[in-house]
Amino acid sequence: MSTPSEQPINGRLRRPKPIRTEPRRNILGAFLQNGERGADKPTETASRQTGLDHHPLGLQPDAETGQPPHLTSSRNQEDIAAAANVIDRHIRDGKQYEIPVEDGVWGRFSSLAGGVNTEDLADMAKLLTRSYSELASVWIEIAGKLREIVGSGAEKAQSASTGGGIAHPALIIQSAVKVGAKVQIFAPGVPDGIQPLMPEGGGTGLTDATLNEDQIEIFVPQDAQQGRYHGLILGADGVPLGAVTLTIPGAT
Amino acid sequence: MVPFEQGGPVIIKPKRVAIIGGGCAAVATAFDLTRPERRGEFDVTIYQMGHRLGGKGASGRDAKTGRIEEHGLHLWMGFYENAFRLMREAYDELKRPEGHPLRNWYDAFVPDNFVGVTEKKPDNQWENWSAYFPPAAGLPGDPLSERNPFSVRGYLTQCLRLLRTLLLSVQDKGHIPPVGTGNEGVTVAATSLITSLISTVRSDVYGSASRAARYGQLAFGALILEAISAFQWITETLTPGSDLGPITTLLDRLSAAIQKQFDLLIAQDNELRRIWEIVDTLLAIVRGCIREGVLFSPKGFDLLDKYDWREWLLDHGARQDTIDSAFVRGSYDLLFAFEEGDVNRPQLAAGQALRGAMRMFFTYRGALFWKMQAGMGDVVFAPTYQVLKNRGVKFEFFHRLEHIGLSDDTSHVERLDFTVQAKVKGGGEYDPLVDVKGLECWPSLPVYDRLTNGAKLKRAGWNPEHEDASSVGTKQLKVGDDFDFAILAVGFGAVPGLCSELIEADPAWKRMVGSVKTVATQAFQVWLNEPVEDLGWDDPPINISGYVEPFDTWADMRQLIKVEDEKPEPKAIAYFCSVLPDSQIDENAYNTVRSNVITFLNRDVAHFWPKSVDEKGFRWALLAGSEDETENAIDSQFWTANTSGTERYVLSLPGTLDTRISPLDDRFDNFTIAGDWTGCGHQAGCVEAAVMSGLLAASALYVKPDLSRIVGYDHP
Repeated sequence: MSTPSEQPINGRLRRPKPIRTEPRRNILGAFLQNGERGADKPTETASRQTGLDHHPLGLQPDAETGQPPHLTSSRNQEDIAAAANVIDRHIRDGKQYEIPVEDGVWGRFSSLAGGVNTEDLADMAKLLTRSYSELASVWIEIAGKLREIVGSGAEKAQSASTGGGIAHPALIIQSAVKVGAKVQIFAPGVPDGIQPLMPEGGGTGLTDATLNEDQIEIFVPQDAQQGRYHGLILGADGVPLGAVTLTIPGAT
Repeated sequence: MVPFEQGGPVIIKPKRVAIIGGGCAAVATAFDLTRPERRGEFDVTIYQMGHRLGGKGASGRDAKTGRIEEHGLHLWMGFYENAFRLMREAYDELKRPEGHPLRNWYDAFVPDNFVGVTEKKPDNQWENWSAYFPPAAGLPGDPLSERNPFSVRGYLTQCLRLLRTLLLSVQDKGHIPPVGTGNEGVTVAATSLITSLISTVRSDVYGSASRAARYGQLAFGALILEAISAFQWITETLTPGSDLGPITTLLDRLSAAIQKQFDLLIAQDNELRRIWEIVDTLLAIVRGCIREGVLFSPKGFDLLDKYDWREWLLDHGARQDTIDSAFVRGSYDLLFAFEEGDVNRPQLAAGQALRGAMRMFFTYRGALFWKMQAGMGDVVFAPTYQVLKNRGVKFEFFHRLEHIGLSDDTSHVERLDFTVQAKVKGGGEYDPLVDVKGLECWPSLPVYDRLTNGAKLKRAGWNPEHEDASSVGTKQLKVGDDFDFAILAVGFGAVPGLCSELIEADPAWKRMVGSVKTVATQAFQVWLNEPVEDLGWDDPPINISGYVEPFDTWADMRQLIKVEDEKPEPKAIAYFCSVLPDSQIDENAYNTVRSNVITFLNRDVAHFWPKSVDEKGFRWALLAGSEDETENAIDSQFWTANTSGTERYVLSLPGTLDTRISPLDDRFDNFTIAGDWTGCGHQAGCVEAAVMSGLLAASALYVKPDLSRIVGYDHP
């Protein structure tokens, strides 16, 4: 049981020499805790294991390689911008109308603000609405920075399949006029429906938009106004999964 | 212990360990050294001043009423993994019989999900803020699913998740978001938010234009939340050498955007202001950790220990209102973090404050707090004493250490000089416990009739815990003859007086003793004839901090009524505590605290119990156990001034934590230390730190210590 360091010296025992005297505080501490035993291989930390669960766009790591999703194309930034545009368009739609302060939303707002008067509420609404553009720019900037930061690592993953878990439905358009269209998916899930496509700046939308299995079908009437139209693709629980953007160019 | 070698059995003599002190650290050390799997490697004796174990966690029972009398308020936190593991093992090993009032550990500790702080509003009125922390997965002391789940990166991710959750709560104040350790609550809340967005989108696009406000609000939420998610992902993908400049710039912009949103709202809404204060704190933490390079620092959060917690938050963008908030001030109250007990001098090392906050809010299991269902002595030290006795640990009560003597070459501890305070009648070991309603308890005063000259001592009201208590002799333990190893496990306040030779011999000891500081505390307990609900308290039973001095913290301890033995039963029990300024410490400190209690009840307690006062002040007839209706009724209650060296609470002052010596440090080759004042990994005055230190002290005597079993030791 005794070791050399514990052999009696002049009739007494000494403490064994310590292996270490301080905690491991660095990032490797998480991997090295069992170093004393030396048998176990390091494991990943919780955050590392689950980190991609929290990808801002809901992208999943490649199922086979476990590599991060491919982020070097401009696709994500476009997705982000498009998603923001959808919301932005609705805000602008709303701004065209008077603000009836007594409706249910205001009731909620009034409660939120502790019973302020209606003028204050109206001002508050304007400020909230106005601040959107600032926030959008911050967010998009972050998304761009994210692309830069992870760029080098993502390059290595480029050969791996991208966007595991992302369903990307086909788009079928019946149109008497020339149109451009794209489908952008920014969250994983199974598409379950599509909104009517509404034009930027207001006006009549493209209401004949359906999702059948993996196909989005949109009928564009001959008298459709020129401009850009947006519609959200929805998941089964009503969560937005992506957006369809359709452009009807002007006469040239 | 009988190993066999060729030629027959060789008897190996167990190593004799003298542990001085009987608090959490000492008990944890003894518990570990005598684990059955060590097969009797150590022969342990605990030398304890006075008649009871417990140190700063000691409690006693009043001989007549069975009232519990504590040194102060003790709440166990849900992250006390090592402490709870010890208690669970002790209760399992004890195998108490069916029908025992505290048969299992979960009978002794009950989850407490409410925590409160008191804050002063702009109109100088005080307001309570009670928060509910939902149960978190698992129980403290359960085996960890991962070997080490702690990382700065993980914590920053948790901060960002919490940020999202709080912002979502602003989106919809009708929804109270859970603040758990997982992200399930965040997901549910986020889904709720998005669903509300979609339900609006699905409705008539050209409907009420008030939708603009809703969309504005949602844009605020959706975009900020996405930005936070982006940060979360960035944080998780950062590697050493990453250029952090662009990230912090972006974070600054995000913070400004969030702040602008809150500015619009918080002026009219106290709840939003509180959420903002937490959001602002979280943003400062994330920004500060990235800016200071904590993510990849080999020192982890220790890197920040040179700063004061509030100053550090301020430096990283927190607003003055935030660092003055009850949320931040509460962390100082929790750790009595006031230099010399002066509430105008709050000082708390930022790294340890952050480590504590991260552990407290993000790693708790079961509940944020756990409340003991009897006195801490009854719940913790009686069962551990019984287990240790069963294992063969010897206890020498009434032994007060006076001096630690080194060898001539200062290499080791050669002798331990004790005052023997009393002798046991008939010789043998003192039996320290008494029975109160079927529960083994420590009495507040010695069981005199078990001592030589007990009747005389009882008549004199002799209390061996008083510094001037009489004694009956001395004892000197010598290395080789009486012990092989010595472990000093007393409160830090007593260390300088006991260790003069060690301090003289070792510069590291000198440095530690010169920098580590302690603070005195004061506490009182009242038993009331009316429930607090009848006195005007409308919320659930609570532990609330951040209130005025002299007593900033109140805990509702009604759960103790059933284990005490007072007739008629009181209707409420309340504990209060706070620091005791050094300026109030003299030979009359006990009376000073009495005056403080009277002042507090007359002047301040009405905030919690408005109906406890009338135009003359506190209604003294409310105090149970007294017929007196004047302020002298307070003498029927309990208060304490914890001013002696062993009673003082250790502070986590900026710039001092790196001077703490670890139990693993081999400064003297047959000696080590244990206590929450040592370099034990979690440098704060608490049960968990004491237990961690005890486990380290035991490890210091092992040839192959396994430090990975000490949860949270290897922690950033």
